[in-house]
Amino acid sequence: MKILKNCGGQVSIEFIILVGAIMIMVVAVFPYITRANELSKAHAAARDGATFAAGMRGMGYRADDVNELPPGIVKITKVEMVNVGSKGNRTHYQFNIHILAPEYMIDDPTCTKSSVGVSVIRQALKYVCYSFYGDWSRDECTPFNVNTTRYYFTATCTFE
Amino acid sequence: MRAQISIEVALMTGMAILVIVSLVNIQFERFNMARELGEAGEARMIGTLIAGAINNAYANGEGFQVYLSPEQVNFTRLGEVEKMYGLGVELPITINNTAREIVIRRNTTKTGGGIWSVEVPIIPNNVVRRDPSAEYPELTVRNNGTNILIYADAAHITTVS
Repeated sequence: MKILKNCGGQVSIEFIILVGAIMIMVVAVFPYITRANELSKAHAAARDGATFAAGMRGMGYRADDVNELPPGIVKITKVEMVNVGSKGNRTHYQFNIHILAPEYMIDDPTCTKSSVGVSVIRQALKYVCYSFYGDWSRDECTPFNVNTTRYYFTATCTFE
Repeated sequence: MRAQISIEVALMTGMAILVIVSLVNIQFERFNMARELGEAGEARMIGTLIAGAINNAYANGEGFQVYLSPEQVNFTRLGEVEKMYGLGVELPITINNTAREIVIRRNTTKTGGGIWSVEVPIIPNNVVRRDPSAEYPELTVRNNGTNILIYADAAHITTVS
């Protein structure tokens, strides 16, 4: 009985040490996981928004303040998220959206000034806004940037 | 030891909740995106359907008429914004004779898109709306030799010159 008691005590101390170590690791890694999760969420949202705008544009839809264009095949080939420094106390990330569109739909060679580019950028940032705030229009979100607690997101595009 | 385990469980649960909550918004976004794109495609198809009827009536000459049944063009379903079966189209649909196009406007504000419109081209520039009657129910498109008459409620279709 004595041996068993000792053995039980030994195991529980080991367990406590092990669990304690795991807890320390979890607590230490937690902020990194949170940040990585936020960035991954923003990236996924930007891709979704850009794809939505490309789909709508492809069908010939346009927002009221954007030029009318004929329908055509618009594709988002790549959405890169690049750290471009800091904005105030926030890290500035820029989405570089690569768009494939037929020539007749490109009304301005500068993507960010073209009708397709404007639609794609706006919608990508709207989706980023929604992913953080669960709301499409907030003071923190404008057509050109999205502010979160840690990050400042903008977007640009290039035609391929 | 019990307390130790429950703290760990609480931490892990916290992390799981964090990840799940962040995925919920993405999930809603994707659901909305799929729904919006599907509805937008359907709305455009309605425009194409009406444009096809107008062009056919124009091309086939006086006396030719096309009837689009409520199963084909259901304005209640077209105009519904909130419910799942709706297409969120802003009624009335505008037929612009000068630009020779049918303008379909969709309200996508609930998914952050604002008002998006699409223009479907038509051939004639003399489309005139008439109130539907027993002889010509909604939505009948008829060529009377002078104009292309479209029989529809004013709240559903309007024509501009």
